[in-house]
Amino acid sequence: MKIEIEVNGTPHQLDVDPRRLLVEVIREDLRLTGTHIGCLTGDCGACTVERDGEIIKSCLALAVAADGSALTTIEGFSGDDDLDPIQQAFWDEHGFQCGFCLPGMLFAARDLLAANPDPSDDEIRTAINGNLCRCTGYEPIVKSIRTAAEKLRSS
Amino acid sequence: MIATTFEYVAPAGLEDLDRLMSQDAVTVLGGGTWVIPELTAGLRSPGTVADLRLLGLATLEVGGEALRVGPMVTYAQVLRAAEALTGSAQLLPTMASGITGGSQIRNVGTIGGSACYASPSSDVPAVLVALNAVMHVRGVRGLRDLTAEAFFVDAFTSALEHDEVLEGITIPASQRDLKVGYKKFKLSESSYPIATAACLIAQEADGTVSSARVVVGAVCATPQVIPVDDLLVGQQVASALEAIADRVQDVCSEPYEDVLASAEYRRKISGVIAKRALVAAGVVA
Repeated sequence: MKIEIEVNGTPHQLDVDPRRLLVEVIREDLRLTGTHIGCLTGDCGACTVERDGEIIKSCLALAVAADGSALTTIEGFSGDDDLDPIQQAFWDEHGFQCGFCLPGMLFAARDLLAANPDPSDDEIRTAINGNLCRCTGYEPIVKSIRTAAEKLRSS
Repeated sequence: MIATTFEYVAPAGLEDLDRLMSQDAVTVLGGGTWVIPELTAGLRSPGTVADLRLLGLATLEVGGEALRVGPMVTYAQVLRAAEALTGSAQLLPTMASGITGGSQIRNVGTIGGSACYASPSSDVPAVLVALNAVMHVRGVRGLRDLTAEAFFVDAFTSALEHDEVLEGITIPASQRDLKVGYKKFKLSESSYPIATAACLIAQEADGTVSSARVVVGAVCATPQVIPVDDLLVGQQVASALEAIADRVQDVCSEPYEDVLASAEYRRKISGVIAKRALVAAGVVA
C-alpha cells in the first residue's frame, strides 16, 4: 500500500506491506536505526518516536496506519547538529550504558519537561515508567532528567 | 513483519464499516495496543483488519447533561479534559492517570478498545460498571444499547456479536459533589492489575453516606458490583470499612486465575483494595 509520511521534516512516499510495523519501516526502509526493537509487546519503550506531536511506541503501530503523519525519530531529536539540552544532560550525567533504551528515555524526558518543567523525582520516575532499562538501574536516568530540567529552566 | 496475511482497510464512513463487519474474520483496530502485539505474536489471524482511525470516533462531548465518550477516545484525551469532568465522571481521569505503559500508551490506548477487549485485568471495565455507563453498539442489524454490566460477559468476552462494533459510551450525569476513589494493585510497575476498586460516594455535611457504589475489577472474570447500601447508607464510612472488605470477599467468591495471581490471592486482597479506594476517595474521616 502506498503511504505518505514525513520523517524528521522530510516527506517520504513508500509502498509498504500492511503487515509491517511502523518500527520496521523506520529501521529497514528509512534506515533510521536509532529507534530500537526491544520487546514487540509495547513494554520496553525502546521503539518510542513522536507522531503528530505525541510520543507513541512504534512497535504498536502498523506502518500503513501512519499515512499522512509527521514523525520525529531520535535522529531528528535535536533540531540541528548540536546535542539537544536533554541529550547533553544525559551525556554529562552518564545517563546511559549500552544506549538501547536511550532514544525512548529521551523522548519520555522531553514529553515530561514540556508539560512539567520542574518535576519531582517521583514525577520523573512516573514519566519513564513506560521505558525499561537493563543497564543503569534508572538512577542515572533520573539524575539526567533532573539536570536537564534545571538546564532548561535556567536557559 | 506480521506473519499472517490480511487485508487492511481504514473505512472513511460508518456505512463502509458496517459492510466490512459483515465479512468473515474481521479484527477491528482501535488504538492497537492489544491487537498489534497479538498480530505480531501470531495470536490472531484475521482476514481483514478494519482500522477505525478515519471515522471521527474520538470525540469527547463534555458539558451536556451526560458525558458522551466516542469509542476511540484515548486515556490522554480524558486526562486533558479532567478539569471539565465533574461528579462521577472524575473517575475516568483518575483511572486514566494510572494506565500502565507510559504516556506512549495513554496517547493511543482507548477506553472503548479496553472495554471491547474485556480483559479481566484491565482498568476500564470496572470503572464503566461503577459509572453505570451505557454502551452503544452498532451492527448491520441496527443499533442497541446495553448497560456496562451486561456488556462484560466473561473473561475476554464482551456482548458484541462478531459483526458489531462499539459506537460510543454514555456516562450518565451525577450530582456534582460526588466523591470518587480508584485503586488498583499490580505486582510491578509494568504489570497488569490483579485487583481494582472504584467507588462513588455521596455524603451529607456530617459525613454520613447518602448513596454509595463500589465495584471491584480484575478479581473476577467480570466487574463485580458490591452491595453496600445496608452497610454504608446513613453511616460513617470509617465504621463500615471492615464489613465492606468482608462483603467484597464474599461477592468475589469465584475469582479469576492466571499467571499473575492465584484465585485465592485475588480474593484475599480484593477487600483490601476496596478499602483503599474508599480512603482514596477522601470519605474516611
